[in-house]
Amino acid sequence: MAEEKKTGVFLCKCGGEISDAIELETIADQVRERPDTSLVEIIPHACGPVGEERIRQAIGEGGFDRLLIAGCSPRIMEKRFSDLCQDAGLQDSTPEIVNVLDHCVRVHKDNPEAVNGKAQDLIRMGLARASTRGAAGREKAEIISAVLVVGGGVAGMTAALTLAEKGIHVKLIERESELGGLAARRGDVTASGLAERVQQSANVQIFTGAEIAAVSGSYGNYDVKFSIGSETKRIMVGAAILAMGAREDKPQGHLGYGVHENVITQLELEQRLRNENYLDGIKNIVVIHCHSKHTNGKLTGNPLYGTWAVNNAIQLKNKNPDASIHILHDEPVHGSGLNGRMQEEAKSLGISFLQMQDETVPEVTPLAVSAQTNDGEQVTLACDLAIVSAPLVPWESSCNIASSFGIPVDEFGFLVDTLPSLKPDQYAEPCVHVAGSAHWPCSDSEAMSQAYGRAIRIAALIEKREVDSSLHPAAVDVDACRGCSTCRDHCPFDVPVIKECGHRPVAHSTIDPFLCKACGSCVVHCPTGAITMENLAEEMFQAEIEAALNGGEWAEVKALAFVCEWSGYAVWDLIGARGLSLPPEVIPVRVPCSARISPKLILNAFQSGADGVMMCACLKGDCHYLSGNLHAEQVFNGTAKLLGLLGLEESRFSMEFISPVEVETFQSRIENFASNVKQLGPSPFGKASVAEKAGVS
Amino acid sequence: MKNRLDNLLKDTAVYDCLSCGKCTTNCPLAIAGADYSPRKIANRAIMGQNPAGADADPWSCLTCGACEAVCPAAVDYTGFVRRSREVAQENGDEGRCSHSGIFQSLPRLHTSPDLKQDRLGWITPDLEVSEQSVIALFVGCAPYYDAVFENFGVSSTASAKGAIRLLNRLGFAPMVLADERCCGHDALWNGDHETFEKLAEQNVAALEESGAETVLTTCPECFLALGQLYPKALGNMPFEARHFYDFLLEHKDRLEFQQNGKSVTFHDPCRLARHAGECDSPRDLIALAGKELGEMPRSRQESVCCGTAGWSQCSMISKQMQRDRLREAAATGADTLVTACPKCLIHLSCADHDESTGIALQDLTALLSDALPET
Repeated sequence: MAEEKKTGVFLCKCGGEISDAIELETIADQVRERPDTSLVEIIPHACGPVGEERIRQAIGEGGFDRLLIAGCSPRIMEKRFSDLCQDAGLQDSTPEIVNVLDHCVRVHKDNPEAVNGKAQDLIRMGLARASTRGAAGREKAEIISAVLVVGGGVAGMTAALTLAEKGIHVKLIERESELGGLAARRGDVTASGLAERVQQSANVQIFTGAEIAAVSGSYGNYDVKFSIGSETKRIMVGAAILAMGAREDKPQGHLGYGVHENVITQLELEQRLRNENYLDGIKNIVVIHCHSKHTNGKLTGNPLYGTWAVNNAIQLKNKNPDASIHILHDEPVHGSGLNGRMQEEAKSLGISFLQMQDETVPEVTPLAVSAQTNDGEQVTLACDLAIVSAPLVPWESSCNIASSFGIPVDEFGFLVDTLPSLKPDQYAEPCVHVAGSAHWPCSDSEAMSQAYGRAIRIAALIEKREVDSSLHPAAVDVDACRGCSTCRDHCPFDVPVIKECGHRPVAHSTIDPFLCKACGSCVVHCPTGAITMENLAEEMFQAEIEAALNGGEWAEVKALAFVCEWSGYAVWDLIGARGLSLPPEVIPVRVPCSARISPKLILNAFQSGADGVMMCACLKGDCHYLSGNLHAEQVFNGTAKLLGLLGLEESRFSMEFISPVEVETFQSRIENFASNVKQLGPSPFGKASVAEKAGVS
Repeated sequence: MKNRLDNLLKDTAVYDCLSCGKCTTNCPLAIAGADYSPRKIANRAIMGQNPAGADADPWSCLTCGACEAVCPAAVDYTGFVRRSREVAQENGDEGRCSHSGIFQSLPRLHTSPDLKQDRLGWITPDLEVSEQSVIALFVGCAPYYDAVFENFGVSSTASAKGAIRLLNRLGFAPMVLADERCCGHDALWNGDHETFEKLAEQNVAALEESGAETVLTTCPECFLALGQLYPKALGNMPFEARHFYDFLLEHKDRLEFQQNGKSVTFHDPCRLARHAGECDSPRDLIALAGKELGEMPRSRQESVCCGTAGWSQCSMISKQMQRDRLREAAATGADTLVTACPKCLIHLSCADHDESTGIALQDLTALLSDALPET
């Protein structure tokens, strides 16, 4: 057996904070006796220059294959020590970091008895991970140094120019015959200026009248086919910026649009204003800016539309100072448009704002608009021209283009970002970014700043010349695969592809290590066990679970909390950092995403003696893997059903959806869970088997 | 260790292997294209290879017994595999588990002495059961299968319900144990002998305490466990284990079915046909229910495995076998493929789910229950 690997262990005193609370010497002695450790040392500050130098020196001296540091959070220290390992030449450069400080010393400081026991458990768990973890390794792929930009609007052109100025070759594909997009249709000068510069750029190759037909390849290496008329072209690019923009959703049949000739949309108004004489003879103008009915509420919450409506009203007033202009609007209103400076300006010009009563819709006739204001008054406004605010919606083709690049879309068809508050400017797919209104209706300036940001990220990737695969990609044993596509159904990013392969009797799944985000959902749901993650293997978690539960008589009951890196684990760190306390009986097991928690791990935790099991996931809608937590919820429900048949008390198994900032909420939920488990006492499973196992090993 | 392996080969008559290769030509895995050869494995073991070692393959075998049926030297190949797995298990190797290992964990959890299951929710008020009955119905893991496969459209408790309905029609209200545990069949065949023994002891004790004189099973694996494996491990049983079909046939004079002339074909489960040697009773019942039976070319003791066994090692070969079997069934022109094992039904339904041949699938007990006339 290849179990010869040794771990070098450094126990950090953290300047006394850890060593004052825990008998580090005793732990060091215990750890030294283990066959899987070689070096065991206590150091004052692992993260200080002296500590780092000592670790570097120890790595240089050799004698161990993996490094374990018991100190503070891996969320802070992992990268640093990983770099140190790599730099010092340790082959397995992923250190095991055990957070004794936040997960034990700080949260259990009022329970000196538990502190030592818990620290031993946590360190034992770290050692179990270290000795069962597979080798981490990233694959590298060369990235083609050309970038595809889809869409020649303000966003697309800005992105193209930003890349071109950095000397990167850009292929710009535009569906229309002219560049400029929505902005050009509105007669915006920014668009024409950008179009001119793009056309002059030697690094931008422009294809107008072109539609994307098919995309294959992945990450750093895309093969894109598109058609211009009857001609099909093919280009190879390393990355893409999707900037397909959006179109105005004409309110056909509503508010008199499409019925009366003098009812037009904001976009149509801007187009017509290019004709100098358009406003001749128009005296009474009504702007209808309401969110409900035909817009399906799609104007709600986006400041763009308010700005757009008020700005256009000001333009009208400037061009035709004699006209009377009323803006009919309903709640809620957002942004600088209806309640900001622009609104003040409009009012000073004599434009009047009338708020309509909720749930009412103005009635539009060829000569007048009547509406009910929010103070109950029925007003009838004479109207030569009615301008309706219509929402922007994605082009139908946008969805297809998005899915051919593996980018998810929302219910309206807009391309979905990863959580912008946590990973701004970052997409799930590192080589494909989205800018402008394809993503969410936005103003020209917003589209342009997005385009700059994303182009810079792509430029940085291209300049690296290669891309890394995911650190723990899922891999398919094709012989064990039935091609049932369960993996694809449970992948938040649709990464698995079911392929027929000549000599094989059945199709099988393939997972691109560059596209895999390593959430673990497919591993958990694969019915045959054909999918594994070498570095986050079931065996590793199993060893960790057993280490957590075996030995340590300090607690009457023990419960495991499988905590997702981004929610539960992060909050656990914060609880410690804030000096709050936690019940020591609950032991955290770190997982990349709640989707990695398999029924087997839960059942085996009970079998190994856990008296309770908790699953912690991000809030719904906040998952770093889009829907990993929802797949985890399925696992929770299914496993809860099995545990119910087994007669296990319901409160021994729970799932929490938690935001990484809800420190007090999470603390009280863990306390609640622990007190439930304590009240129930030892679980009907396990205690016997734990004793047995301890006897065996 | 060397002695132990030597004994393993002696006990299972592997040393008698003539290396004729009949086993491999009859092995459904080899036929479906898998790189698997019982002969090769037996010969390597004779040459000294540890059959549970890293370069050996103790897990692929379906233990269907097709090889043994044609072996001229009477090698107990499935016994050899089972015992190789015991060695593998001791080294921490439990093969590649299907369904996240749920069905490997559940039997182990069932060994808990404090177990208090809540597993009888499927018994609807129209079904008559009695705690005083001397006839017990052992329903096996059906409630657990339903929890896992409910989204899949396969109901395993449908046959348990059907069995109670049929018994009620004969005037029996059977006892169904609330703390019945997994029979341990799979644990045994997967080399987890310890779990099997615990389950056997606990089940026998519970049945003895219940006062049951006759224990009926519809699942062939439970039937084998209670009827053959338990007596072998624990000696004489305090009850008589009988297959449900056998019991029904004993009372066939009192059974009446709607004769609606549906045509069916029957898939013999390995455990029922080859391991228990029971091929006639299901056919007799099909005839009794007035169904026309179209036989598949591979039937009775020459039946073929449904693709996986022991919730382990499911693969592309399994799917290939299931696909072939479904096509074979559809080619008979029957409306329904009837089987007599909850796992065969689940496995064949799984393949049908991916690629349907149009034939319906049903368990025999459920079919019989459905064929009862309205009261």
